Amino acid sequence: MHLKRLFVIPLIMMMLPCASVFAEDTSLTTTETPAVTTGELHRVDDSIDSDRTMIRMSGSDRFRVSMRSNVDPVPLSQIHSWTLHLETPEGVAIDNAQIGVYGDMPAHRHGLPTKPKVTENLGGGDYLIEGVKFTMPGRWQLILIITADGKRDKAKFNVDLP
Amino acid sequence: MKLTRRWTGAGGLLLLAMSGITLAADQKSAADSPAWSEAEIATLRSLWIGSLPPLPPDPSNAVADDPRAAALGQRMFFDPRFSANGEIACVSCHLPEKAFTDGLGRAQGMGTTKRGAPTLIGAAYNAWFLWDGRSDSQWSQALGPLENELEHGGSRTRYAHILYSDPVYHEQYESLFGALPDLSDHSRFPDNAGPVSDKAAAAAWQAMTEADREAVTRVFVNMGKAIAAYERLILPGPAPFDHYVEALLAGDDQAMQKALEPDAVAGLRVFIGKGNCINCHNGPLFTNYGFQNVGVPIAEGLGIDEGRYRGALEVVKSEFNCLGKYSDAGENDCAELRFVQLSRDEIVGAFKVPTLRNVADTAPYTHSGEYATLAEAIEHYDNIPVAPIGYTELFTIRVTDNELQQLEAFLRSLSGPPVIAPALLRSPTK
Repeated sequence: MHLKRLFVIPLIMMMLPCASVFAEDTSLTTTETPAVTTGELHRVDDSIDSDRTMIRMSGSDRFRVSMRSNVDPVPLSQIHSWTLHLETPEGVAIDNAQIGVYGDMPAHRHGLPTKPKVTENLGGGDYLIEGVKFTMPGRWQLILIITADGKRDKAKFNVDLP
Repeated sequence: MKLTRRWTGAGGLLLLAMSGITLAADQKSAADSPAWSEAEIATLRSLWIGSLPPLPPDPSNAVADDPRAAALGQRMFFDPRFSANGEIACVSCHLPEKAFTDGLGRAQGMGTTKRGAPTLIGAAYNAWFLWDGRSDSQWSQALGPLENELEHGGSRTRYAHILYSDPVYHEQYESLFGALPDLSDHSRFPDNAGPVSDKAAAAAWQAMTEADREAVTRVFVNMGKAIAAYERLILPGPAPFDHYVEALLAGDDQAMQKALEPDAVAGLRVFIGKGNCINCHNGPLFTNYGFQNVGVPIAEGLGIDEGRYRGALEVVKSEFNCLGKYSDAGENDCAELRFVQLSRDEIVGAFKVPTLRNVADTAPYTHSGEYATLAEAIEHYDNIPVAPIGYTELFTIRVTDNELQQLEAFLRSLSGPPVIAPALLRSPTK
């Protein structure tokens, strides 16, 4: 397990899309298929702190989820929206999911300053999440509870504001 | 031996030269304070007034950027007739010479209120107004004090009569908003009627027809919209801190030293560093426009103040909110309201993060004026109490007494005269 983690971390670092305003590459998703396989995208919860990838498998590998801010770079103290893309592990878009949006700052006690929601099913596996706001610099976590095709799972994404 | 020394000397010179280049690349600051890192410079730039974006539009107010509305709003802002006793105007608690506050811990109108009057300088950048954010627009914020028994103490019908009977107001109002209702029939439109605490005025309001009540409310709303158009013009000007950042970005050591004293620079370092102040006091107005519980003690004579929790519950029910019929906004313009946090745990005891621009001029501090001086307000963060209600995120910052003084020196460097024409700082009738 440890050996696998050692192998995977530099791989993930290499394909890091990043929410930082300093990054030259400000894209938040990879448009091409990532070089790593599904198994290698899987992250157990305790390694989530080191992982800022915006495309991932949900916690129990039931869904493949990617998240993209619709304002780039992710703004501080400004309400904005995100687009979530949902697929099966095999890469088939899922159109009929129920998605709850939660979040917090893991190093702090507080949750999100707003109550974001999926407001629109955009089709093709895309969902519009409105009402996201980050009011402090540092690491935030967006947590999606996803129910689709009789399955339920959770996906967590780190968002770092400089 | 000599050879070694020479090589050592040469090596030393080379090192010095290299470090000189490195220092220059790092934008060297004042001679005896360490250079700012790239990341710190980016933070300073984000706090700099030059990073303030243009004033965002207010879709809920169709006349927000109309100069005629601002002129009407200015006239009303300074006019004490819009009160129960003819002596209280908006300016009574928002004095231009006191950074548009009143120097009091708790504002005084017809009576003593429970909270302080916030500054109006740059206020238009906020999404939420008042300490508990119970107004989600600047125009709706103006309406509360006008009918609050402790503030202006009047009623919307009283005010409508003033606009109707004063020829200047009458003409200015109608050129902006169309015809005033015919208020000449005082049996239909009593002298003093509104949904206020004064029992006679409230009864008179109930006795009016719904159509007449709505007509008067529309006039009242338009008053707020004109006042907001004026308030949008009250914008922050550069402060010594901003001159410092400009000098830093230009690599001008001398100008940097001229802009800020070493104590203020040291205080700035704490502010963006171990003080963690920028967690909430970030961006060019030194506020994240949000709500935080910082554990302010209960003010003497006042009970527990639930702050944002009450404010949020109130704004979602308000007829004057972004989604209400008096708002000019489309649903897509009301994201803050549509996704407002209502969870008690998150917001009880939380209050608006105030701007720190001009903070030295807006004593006392906190929502109820708990701290008379800036030093005491800063001291709070060195000794965080248990929050009287809810919980506070804050933990005591580990700073020395000297660093507390330096923080104060830095905060004093955030004062600068607002960018607003002198003619706008007084009643237009004068």
